[in-house]
Amino acid sequence: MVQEQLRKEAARLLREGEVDVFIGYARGSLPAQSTVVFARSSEDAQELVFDPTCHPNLAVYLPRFKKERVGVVVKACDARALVELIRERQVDPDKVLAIGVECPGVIDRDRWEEGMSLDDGEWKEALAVACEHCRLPAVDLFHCWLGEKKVAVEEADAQVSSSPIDEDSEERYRWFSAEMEKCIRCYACRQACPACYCPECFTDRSHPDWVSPVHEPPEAMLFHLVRTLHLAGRCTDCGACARACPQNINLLALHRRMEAEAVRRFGYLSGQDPDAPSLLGSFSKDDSDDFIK
Amino acid sequence: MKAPAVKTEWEPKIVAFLCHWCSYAGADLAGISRLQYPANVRVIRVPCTGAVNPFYILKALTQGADGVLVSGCHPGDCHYLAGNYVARRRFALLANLLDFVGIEKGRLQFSWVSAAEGQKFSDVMREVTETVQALGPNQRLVQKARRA
Amino acid sequence: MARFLARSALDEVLARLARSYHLHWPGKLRGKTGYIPWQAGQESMLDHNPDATVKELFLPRTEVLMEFDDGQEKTSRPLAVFGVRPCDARAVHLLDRVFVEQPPVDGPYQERRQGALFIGMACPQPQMTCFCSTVGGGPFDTVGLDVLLTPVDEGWVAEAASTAGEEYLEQEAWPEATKEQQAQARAEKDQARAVAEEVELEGLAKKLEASFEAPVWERLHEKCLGCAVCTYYCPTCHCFDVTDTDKARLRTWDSCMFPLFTLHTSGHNPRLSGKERMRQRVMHKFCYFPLRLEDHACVGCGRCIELCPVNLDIRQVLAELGGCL
Repeated sequence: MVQEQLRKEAARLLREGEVDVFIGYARGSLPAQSTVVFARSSEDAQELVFDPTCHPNLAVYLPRFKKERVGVVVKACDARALVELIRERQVDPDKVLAIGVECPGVIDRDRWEEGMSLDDGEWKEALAVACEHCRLPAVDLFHCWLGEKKVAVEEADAQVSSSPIDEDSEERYRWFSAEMEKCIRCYACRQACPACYCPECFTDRSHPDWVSPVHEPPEAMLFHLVRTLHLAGRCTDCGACARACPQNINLLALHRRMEAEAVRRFGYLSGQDPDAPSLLGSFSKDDSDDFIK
Repeated sequence: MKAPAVKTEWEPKIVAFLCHWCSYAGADLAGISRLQYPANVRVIRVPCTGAVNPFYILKALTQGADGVLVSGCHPGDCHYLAGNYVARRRFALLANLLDFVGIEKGRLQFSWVSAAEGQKFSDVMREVTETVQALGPNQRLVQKARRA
Repeated sequence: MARFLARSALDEVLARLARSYHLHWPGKLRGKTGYIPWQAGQESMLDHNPDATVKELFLPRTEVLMEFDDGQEKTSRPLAVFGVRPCDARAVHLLDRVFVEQPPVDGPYQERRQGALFIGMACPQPQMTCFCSTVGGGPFDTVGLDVLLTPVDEGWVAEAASTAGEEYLEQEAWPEATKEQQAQARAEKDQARAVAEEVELEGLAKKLEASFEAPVWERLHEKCLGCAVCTYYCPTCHCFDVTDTDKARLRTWDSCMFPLFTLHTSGHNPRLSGKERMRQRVMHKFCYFPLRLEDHACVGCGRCIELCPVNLDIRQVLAELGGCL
């Protein structure tokens, strides 16, 4: 069983000094909720679990470790985020040992209903939106892989059903406004995102104050639009932001729109190969001019 | 004494980010050539379209601009060799995202205008102004206090 | 004297309240739930503790402190909240300590708070995340309330918890609750007392005071992502920022979990990492506040536990701190 193998391998890595710390999931204090554990001894490794409640993206913690050797358990989506972190030189691939796990998809706690069982397929009713499609990185960056090397759903159909993509612009703005109205600017999306590792976010600047702290939808729009653009070509569609959001904002609609456009316009897909050029750091002379006078 | 008559009719405010090497010089040429174009455009000179952060554009719109134009050198002519190529990718995504969230298409426009294209500059200004005029005051994305 | 408010009389009672008060009650807010202005015909959500706290009514996310042009004088009805949970009411009671019970008095807060009426809803079925009894409250606690309603068959048993509450009940003159109804309310109360007291808080404040440099903080904060979910959803967190715009001076909520919160003009930041920030949050609630104002700055509503993206459970943090310091 994946969980047993995981505990064993993590314990071995820690015992034999191959890693200084192992980041994984542990049983949380609520149903359908896991928590994060930083194991530093083989005994700590016995706390590790892996099941559909393991929804945070652990790659978010990796840039914090500059000197220590880190072991980490990664789902396919976390692995894609790791690819981006390596590409952007935030993580030294020689200092990270990633244990890949076969993942059946994870639970979105907002879709979860009390009493759903983890053992049969019942929990799939609460499957996170991001898990509706999944893919593995094109390169092998795993220390080892536990379970079958496959992902739950593979076709990358970058659409979110609940966004009014076919409506007219007024209707789309109404949808966007309603989503932004919900935002309380707690920045949980940013903090849960492995790609949002900037030591100082533009929202944290006070001179000039790019975004005002005033609780008004245009300020939330400004934050989310700029964040979406910052993540264009770097977001790996793990959905950690949407699951962290306490207000259930449909953030994936924005990110997937950018992903779809990057694929359509530039044939670019993130999270595949750490040696590939980045989307916005590269260009082709033949990129289309169709929107320019 | 009578107060001067206040013009009440709405006129669009348009912010234009112009590349120093091409479009800004194009504006100069239009001026020197005494070409006419609407005075709704507020020009902000930038070193290169590659230096225009999408944030500047969004900020202009939230602060009450009715339209934004970004204009720079034709592909291949960038003073910094590739600034406009990089900008082109970035703006393609920005334009797509703004369209997706329901910002009217004409609010944000892009053009390539060289230092020799005074006529094109004045044409583009007229076109942009007319499009934004037809759209009316910008109500989306704008802070409440700044709405027209 | 306990009164009985029949479920069937609720709409009339609320309509009457709304005439003299700016009445709020639990309802749908920004895609979740919160305290919203009452309107006739709204769906009742009284059996639910809203996601957003009652704090918002008295300390809004953004408020104009001062306008640079002459403001119009405003006259408005005092606020009333119908169906507020004991934990949230207790939180407002704690906010009072900060904003009005010691100088300097906070004008805008006091203005909203003055004459506000709290009609509370007892909480016979605490959630898994609730720990109000641990921090000195309880599902039937009346601190901060004017009237406490306890759900019984067909309605609620109403008891006054303050003079304002007594006056209100007097004026409403609902029928006296029957013996059976009172017995049922008492039974609910006795049964709900059993909310587990998992964490020992006795003496924790003193211990924490001596633990500022303790190595345990290093480990405790490790999984914290540094977002402000816990502080923005906390009914007692009250830190704010003041910004001047060209039109007004604004007060907005702020969070000690953000680096900007303590950033000095010089560029120096005394709380440089997540460790210092999380320590501050715990210290403020369970050390500084209790030592100065003799109460924990936490009401055990459990929202931070429910909503934390990585399940950083404050109960476990306290247990760990209590155990190792």
